[in-house]
Amino acid sequence: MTRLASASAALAHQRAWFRDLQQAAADGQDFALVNADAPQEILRAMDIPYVVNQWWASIVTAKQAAAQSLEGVAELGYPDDSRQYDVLALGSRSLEADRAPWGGLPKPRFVIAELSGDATGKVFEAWTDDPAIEFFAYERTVAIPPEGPWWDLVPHEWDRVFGRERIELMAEENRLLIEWLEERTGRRFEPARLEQVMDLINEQEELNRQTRDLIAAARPTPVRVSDTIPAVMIPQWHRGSEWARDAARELRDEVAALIADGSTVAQDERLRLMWVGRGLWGDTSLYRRFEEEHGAVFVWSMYLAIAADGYIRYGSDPIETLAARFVGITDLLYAPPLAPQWYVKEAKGHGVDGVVHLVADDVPGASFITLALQEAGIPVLEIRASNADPRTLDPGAIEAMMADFIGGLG
Amino acid sequence: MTAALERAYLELLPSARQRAESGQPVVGIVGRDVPAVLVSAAGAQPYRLGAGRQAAAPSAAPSAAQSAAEATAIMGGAVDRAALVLLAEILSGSLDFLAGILIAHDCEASVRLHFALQELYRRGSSTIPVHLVDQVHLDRPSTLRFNTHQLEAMTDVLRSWTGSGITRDALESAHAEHSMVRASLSDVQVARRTRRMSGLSALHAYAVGVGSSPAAALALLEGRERGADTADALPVFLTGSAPIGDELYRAIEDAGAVVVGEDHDWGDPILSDLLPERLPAELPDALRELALSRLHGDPASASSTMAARAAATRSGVEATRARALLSIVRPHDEAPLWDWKRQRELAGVPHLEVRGEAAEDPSAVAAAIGELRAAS
Repeated sequence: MTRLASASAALAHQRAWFRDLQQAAADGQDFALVNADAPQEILRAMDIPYVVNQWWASIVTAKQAAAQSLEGVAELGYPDDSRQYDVLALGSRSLEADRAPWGGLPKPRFVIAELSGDATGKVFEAWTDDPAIEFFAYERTVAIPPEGPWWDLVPHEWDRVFGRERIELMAEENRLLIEWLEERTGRRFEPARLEQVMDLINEQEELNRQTRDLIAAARPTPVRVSDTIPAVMIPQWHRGSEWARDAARELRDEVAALIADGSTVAQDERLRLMWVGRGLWGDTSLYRRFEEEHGAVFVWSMYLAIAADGYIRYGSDPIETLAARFVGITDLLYAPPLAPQWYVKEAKGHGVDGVVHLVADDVPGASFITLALQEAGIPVLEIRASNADPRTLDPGAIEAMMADFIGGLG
Repeated sequence: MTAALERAYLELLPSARQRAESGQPVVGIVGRDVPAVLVSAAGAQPYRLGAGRQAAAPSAAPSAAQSAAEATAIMGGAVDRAALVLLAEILSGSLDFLAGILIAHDCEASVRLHFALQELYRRGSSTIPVHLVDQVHLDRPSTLRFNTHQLEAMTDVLRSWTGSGITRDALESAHAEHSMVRASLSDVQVARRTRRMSGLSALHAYAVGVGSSPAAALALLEGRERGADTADALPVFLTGSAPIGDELYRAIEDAGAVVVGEDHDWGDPILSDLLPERLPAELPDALRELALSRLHGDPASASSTMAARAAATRSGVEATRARALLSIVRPHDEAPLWDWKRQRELAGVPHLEVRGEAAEDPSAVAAAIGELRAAS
């Protein structure tokens, strides 16, 4: 059970929102399925509902329907061992009604994604086997070395992190997406509405930054990452709405109150841990399993931290500012030297004693993240597995590796 | 011709090293998306790096196992082995004569190779500078503008590596030389399609064409007999992963087939990036033409749609009069796995996919040819 009221509220909101989306889809309303690395703010500004692909994949995985969804991918004639996190939503469409999480994902009218890796574009193209579904693709350009600590530069000086040309390309693609959506929906895009959305997002992420800073400074830690993840990520999927901004404020206030009350996760916190990589949605209790015996608490996951450092952008042109938010968002998490520098900064800021690093097949630069942390004197356990494919996970083996690692830290 | 080409193929690395030792800068290229003509125009020899070829050099042998282990530790095991092999070859020191390496954004493995080499150089663990030529692939004006800028940046990098800027005369001269090599490679394509040349020899010819100095390549490719008559072998169109070395072609052709065409970036697609007969006089315009030629070239698996790939495969099968389609896909080379559904639906000939560990097993490949022969 969650200890955070803000997490419970976010989950309740998400269920109600999804029921409304299902009803709207049943009534003929168009909606979009969007990959997390593609801008969603244009859809928000045009009042086009959307589901974030990775959110739905996390639900499919948490409801133990991932393996069956991957079987559905194979039945469509596509590989079931490639880009599993991206493809679960497509496979989940084949689930029987009684197996489909939350009543199942309705059929989207649009799918939108960046062409990351070798096959993400193909995953989304596969949706268009149904001729009623159309795909808009963004180019995926490659990270360049930043001119300084990116977390300080990106809010105002994003060119110095991502390069002007990459941002200009994505800004042009944002304009293309707007035209594409206007043609297909009959809706009109209003720049002033996007400005409002962008303002709300900056407010939301500034609140997340305050929450991250509170948790980083607190000893012992007042909240579990398994609580903060839904409390941060569900509002992230609703970025640009007043509800999301207010949810971020409620989280900040709740965390501050817990700290003021002296609330703790573990009775005797002896080890502070950092989880680098995607969440293990199929078994989030793993994060809590070492609290009692070892006094080991996960104090950090990327979800709150990237909200705090990766999303805030202040600019006069909302289309370009939006491009500056998304053009390198995954670089910040995975590409050297951006990502390794950041994880070290966060590890030091949170005073962690060790890092568990989940390395998926589809992320670059993992070894340099591990190396940078080790060079900073922080022990790292690497676990190589896909968080979205239970066939690649051996929960017993992972737990044993973590127990050994944590035991060695003590 | 066959023996001469094979010798030249095996001598590509020592020849490039010799040229560097004689004072001409040699620039390594990874991927078809890097325009070699610009390297020539900057006064350097372009040397296309092919995984599996540098390992043949004796100097690389003593540390090969150690370098392979180091490469895997850096990049992880979940990456196409072509990139691991190439990184190991670079780590072995056999390419230390290069003035720099230009890497195309043609697939995820190349991007990871770039990140690895960039970090190794930044940390002082490698002496070879590296630059990613970030050519992306949607057929849109915005993409073309971005790609053109990427080529402008590449010319700046080349200037810093070679000390030579690209002049109009140098570009014209390089363009003329590269066009002549392409014409010779077009003859090679005709020869294999008319069953006067094996796929193995064609593979060697392409490697020589893009891995030697243009003059040396021309001397080897022009006016020679085309070698073996392959009329009795099963004509196969090859798709899937770009081969590491030439062993795969040997295995296919030893099993009674001939590779009459392929869609990987070491083969026929090289000829599809058509340049205009004369490049524009102004460098920015010329760079735009170069970017455009690649955008309109044959689709590569990792950077194009499944629909485009299936259509190109169908065209390739028809143009080569192949009687079978064979897809060979190594582990962690994801894109061709996705293409296969539509490729086989459109192929119009017997088809077979060999994937995973079997893709690097000559006996599995031979067995696949046996199956295709039986079905054709």
